[in-house]
Amino acid sequence: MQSSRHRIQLFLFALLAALFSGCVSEQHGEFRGNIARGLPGTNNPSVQPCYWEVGWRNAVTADALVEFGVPQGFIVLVHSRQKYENSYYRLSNDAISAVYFYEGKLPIEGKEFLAQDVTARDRVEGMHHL
Amino acid sequence: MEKWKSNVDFRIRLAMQSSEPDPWVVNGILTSYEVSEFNPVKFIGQGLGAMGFAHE
Repeated sequence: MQSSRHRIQLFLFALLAALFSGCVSEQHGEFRGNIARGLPGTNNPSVQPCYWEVGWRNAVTADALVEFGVPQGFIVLVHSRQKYENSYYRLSNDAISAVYFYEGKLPIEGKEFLAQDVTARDRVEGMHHL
Repeated sequence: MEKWKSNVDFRIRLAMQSSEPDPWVVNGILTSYEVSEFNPVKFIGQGLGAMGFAHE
């Protein structure tokens, strides 16, 4: 009796392991709206895929960032590392301290960017504090 | 505004512009979400690999 229950448990475990080994998880992102230089309303809202989603966190810095790549550049959210970790790795409104739009083809170097003070961050070429 | 569905999914409303003469305007909703799905090709590949049929 004990042996047959054990076999069933083993079979179920093997079945679940096999099924989960074939599961794929992928992160998707999109931006619905306008991202443009100039006055609002000059472009029609559209859905744009986020090609990149890059996060930067370091145990020694108070700030962290996450950037989302769209065809025009990157939306960069600077946030409090501690608040993000305290919220079980969720972003929340009170954790976000600054939003930037970065005109670049590649993501910014998060470690270098976060090592600078707020004034210096605003002066980074191609970086626009929103 | 934001809405959470799980630890990794979120949606945030952005309506902002830079303070420049010719500003960048970001006005819309940024959504990030995780999709988990069963991939039969990967499943078969894992099975063959476990049986020793697939080699790199």
